[in-house]
Amino acid sequence: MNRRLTNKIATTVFVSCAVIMTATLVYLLGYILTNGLSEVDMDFLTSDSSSAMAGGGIKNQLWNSFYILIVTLLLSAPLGVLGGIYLAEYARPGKLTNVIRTSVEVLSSLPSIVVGMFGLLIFVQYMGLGYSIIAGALALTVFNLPIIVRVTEDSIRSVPVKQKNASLALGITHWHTVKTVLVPAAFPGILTGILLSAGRIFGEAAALLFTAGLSTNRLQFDTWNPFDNNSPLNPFRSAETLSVHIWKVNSQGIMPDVDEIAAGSAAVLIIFVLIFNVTARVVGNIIFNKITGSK
Amino acid sequence: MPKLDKRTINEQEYDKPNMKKRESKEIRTESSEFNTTETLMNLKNLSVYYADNQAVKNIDMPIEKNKVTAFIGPSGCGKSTLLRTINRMNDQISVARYEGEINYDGLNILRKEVDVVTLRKEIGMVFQEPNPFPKPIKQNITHALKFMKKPKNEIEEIVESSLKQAALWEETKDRLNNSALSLSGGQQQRLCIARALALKPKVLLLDEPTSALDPISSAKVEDLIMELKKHYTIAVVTHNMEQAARISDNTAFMYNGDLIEFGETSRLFTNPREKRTEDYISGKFS
Repeated sequence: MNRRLTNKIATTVFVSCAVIMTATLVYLLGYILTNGLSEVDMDFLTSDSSSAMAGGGIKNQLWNSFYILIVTLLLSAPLGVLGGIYLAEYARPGKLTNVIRTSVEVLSSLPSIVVGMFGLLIFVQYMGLGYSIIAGALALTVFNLPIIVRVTEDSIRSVPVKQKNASLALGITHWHTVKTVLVPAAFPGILTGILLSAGRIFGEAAALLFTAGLSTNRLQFDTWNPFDNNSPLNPFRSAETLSVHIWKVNSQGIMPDVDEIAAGSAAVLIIFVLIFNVTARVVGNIIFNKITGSK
Repeated sequence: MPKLDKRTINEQEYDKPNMKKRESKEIRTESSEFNTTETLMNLKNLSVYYADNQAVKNIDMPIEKNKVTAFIGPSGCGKSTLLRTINRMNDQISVARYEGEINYDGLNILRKEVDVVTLRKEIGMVFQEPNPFPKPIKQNITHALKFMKKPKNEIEEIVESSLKQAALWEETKDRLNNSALSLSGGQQQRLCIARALALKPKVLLLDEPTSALDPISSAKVEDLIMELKKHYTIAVVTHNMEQAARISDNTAFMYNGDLIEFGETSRLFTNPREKRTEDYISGKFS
């Protein structure tokens, strides 16, 4: 009787934890979306922001967010995946490896505002990049890289060792085994990790305040020469992203519709982060099924 | 063992770490010779350590060509370690080290310079748990062949012949592109054997190949082993003494890392010389 009661209590505790968690998420999402979505329309998404008048949009900010995201992933994904493979497969257990692993962990837990300050010092000033997309992407790489390293290492380690043995026992070299057995099996996990980290980069504000800047040139979406100052593709121009925009209008906006803009931007931000998360799952599953040949 | 002698005389050959070089002059004895007793491999004073723990202790024994050699003994006696030493899979474990020699084809395969990749092509291994790649059946076999850059038409032939050899062709020929994971445990294990056979090895190491299988699947794998010994030299680790008695020609009984007794299976099981062997095979301890 007693044991049965304990069992019941344990079940109740776990279920209520899950309920609290889900309820918080649903409430948050519901609140942001119901408040924000009414402000979001095509015009909001495709018009320039205004600094004093009502009715500004978020076109440039949205573009900047994606651009910085892509540049960050281009910098951090290849490096991170290779680093993860190194740690999982090549690093011999020892002091050096421990130092590397600890550094990676510390790097990923640095407060993003500190990474922003670091970026300001190193990328913006010392390297002379100025407030720019590239400086912002480099700062984001600083804490995105460790996440990708970690995800890759974990995914590769979670491939059953019997798979690796099977390949090695067939007279296949370590590198070829990594390439054709371990990485493919770990790929869904790695991809999911990268897409999830993409959600984090997309929503990051603090690290970008001091690196990508708070303003955007008047972008001309017909000028695709990346060296033109008004070109959306120019990586050396300053770029205010969506989340920085939310922070900026909230703290220093003087337009009359500050609340509406912030709410609308937040809704758009959340929707994209949700899209990244859902895509991560769906694509991961599809690729897993494809690789394993199961349907 | 005339051919081996010739090789051992040639000291330079002895020193060649790269086994590929020798492949051109490869001597593949015909399968019709399987009745004669010929030593393919010689374990000389072999010890294996994991850090300071000696898992295999100074073992001397031959592995005879085209025979099935069974390794029996209680859990932890070092039989799997010994088996995994023969194709250097223990190299994976950073604290593992070897002493002594395993002479195979005139070469001590424990030497550092031996190319383990080439070695493992000649000495195939099948593990306790079926471990097919989570890929289509066919790709499980072509995986290694593609790595070796075999021509396409040859690959097709090898897929069929190795599946036939593993008695799996009839069951799988219509669904070669289905996932290997859709096969039953016994079929998966035979696929793993087929995968090893596709490389045309000389030796097959089987590490408790049936312990994860049901009795019917086990019987099929046993039949397969009996069939395969006509062409291959087989070393099998087993927990199942009936199995050792049924399928092996020679048996090695190990205990605590020591080789207690080695001899013809029929003799060892009916008339063991050592007390401990007798106790073990009569089930007094396990």
